[in-house]
Amino acid sequence: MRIAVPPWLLYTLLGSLLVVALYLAVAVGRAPLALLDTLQAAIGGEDNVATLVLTELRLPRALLGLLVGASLGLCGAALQGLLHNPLAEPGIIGVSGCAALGAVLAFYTGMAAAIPLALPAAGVLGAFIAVALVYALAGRQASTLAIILAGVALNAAAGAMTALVLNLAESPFAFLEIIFWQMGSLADRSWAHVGVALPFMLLGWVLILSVRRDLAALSLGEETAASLGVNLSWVRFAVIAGSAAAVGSAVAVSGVIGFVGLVVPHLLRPLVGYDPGRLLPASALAGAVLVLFADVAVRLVPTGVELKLGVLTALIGAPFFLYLIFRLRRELT
Amino acid sequence: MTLVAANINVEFGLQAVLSGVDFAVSRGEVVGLIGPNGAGKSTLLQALAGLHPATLASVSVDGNTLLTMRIRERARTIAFLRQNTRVHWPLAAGQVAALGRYPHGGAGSDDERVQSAMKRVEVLALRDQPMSTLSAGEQMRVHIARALAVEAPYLLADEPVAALDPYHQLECMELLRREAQAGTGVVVVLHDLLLAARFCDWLVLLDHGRIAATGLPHEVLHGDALQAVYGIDVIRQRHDGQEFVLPWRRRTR
Repeated sequence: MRIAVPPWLLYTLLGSLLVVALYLAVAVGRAPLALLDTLQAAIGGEDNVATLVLTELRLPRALLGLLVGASLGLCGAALQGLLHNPLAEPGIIGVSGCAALGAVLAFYTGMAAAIPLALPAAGVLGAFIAVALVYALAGRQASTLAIILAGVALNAAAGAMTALVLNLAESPFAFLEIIFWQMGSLADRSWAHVGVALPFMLLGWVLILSVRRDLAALSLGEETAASLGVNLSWVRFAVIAGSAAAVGSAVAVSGVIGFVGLVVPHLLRPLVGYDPGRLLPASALAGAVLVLFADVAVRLVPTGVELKLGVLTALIGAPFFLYLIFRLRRELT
Repeated sequence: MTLVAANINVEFGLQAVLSGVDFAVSRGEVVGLIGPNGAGKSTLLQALAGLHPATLASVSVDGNTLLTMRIRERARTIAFLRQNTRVHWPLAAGQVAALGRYPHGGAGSDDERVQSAMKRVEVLALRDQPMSTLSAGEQMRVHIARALAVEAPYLLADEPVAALDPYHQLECMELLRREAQAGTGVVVVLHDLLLAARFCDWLVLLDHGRIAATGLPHEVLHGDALQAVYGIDVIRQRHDGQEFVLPWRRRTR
């Protein structure tokens, strides 16, 4: 089945979708907004409720949605390419779990309430500790299988620690806050969140995009790739550290938004001719589109309490995951 | 114009896989690497390709050891075709062959070179077909095209004919011969002693990680060495002035 579309068409399509998604992300919300007028007023330096809603709520939320979605899509595609596994996603190397644990600890110790940036900083720190631990567990050679096993162990440990923190949380308020935060959301995020996440995300994107041709060579297996001149340990490091930086900071500012990194590369793969290298930029764009649309959807669903973004992506993603396993099983037997 | 390995030692844990192996291949010749399962043929080929970090200093091309070469430069010098290459995504044949240009960093004339390599193994028509829909023989030829697309002065192939029918085995060996005539130094791991005798300039017989015999095919393929190393009796024959052996029965030990 060859349905590869020419790159210019694919990027025009994804680009247009992104513009539509960004427009909706800024235009849709509880408070109705005359977008053009408000934008003009904001540029003109006026300060009223409408311009504040636009510049301090909608814009940072939309931008964060774009950054988080792009990071999740990009890292999912890169990890699937590195690990040769279509079921891999950013969580698999323990990065999400440890970033979440870091953030939860920030809640628990009260740092999150005391210092506004302590929460995302703790998340990023957790992600980098995860990378260090994965390498310590997997050893100097760090084979692909060892990395996956280390990630599984790390996820289990981070989950247990998170449960312990919840168990020991004395105030029910902190408990609820942690639970809600873990569900993943972009609501009420500010420019400060964008400022914290952006540098780490850019670092991660650059690292990962720099090895996109190596990922294509890796589709022939590690030995053949090495014989073609791929520096395997550098590629592994670039993908894992890059994912830690990008996904770690994404989790740190938005909580856990699952399945985007799994689903997006899957949908895009046939469109780029299954090339793991070409998949990367396309997945980043599509990840941004998906998260932005999902974030618009949670604002439109008429529930009493706003639906959490992570809950929505999980509701869409879980059945897709099941379908994938079903299809893979059929291919394997 | 020679790829030389001097005193290669490889250990996996406490097990010595190769001990004190010397090897050389010059451009323009086909060297056959034969020996029983587990003799260390694949390991030697990997070492020659620079895939064992510990032996990089013992392998050299025209006097420069692999240790002093940049990794891409090494990849442009030595093309390597492993046994049973698995393609992890449903890539098309043309995409797989094009990966042979990776060591060159993706220059403009790549398309022509990939097409020329695919034409030489007659898989150009399969360019847009997914690898998974091709027969084992067609897949092998695409992988050979990938290795040819590197356009390296040395080509190492690990049992390239294992999955092929007799027609394509002969085709593959003739192709390696032609590449050698065009100036490539070819090292090929073979189990088929008949093909080894027919198509190789030199043979190296490995046994338990050591060189048991080396020389012209008729020198290496004499009965005593094969009896000792493979534990088989062979029938020696001559056809068109060429000597060859047929494995006939196991020797009772």
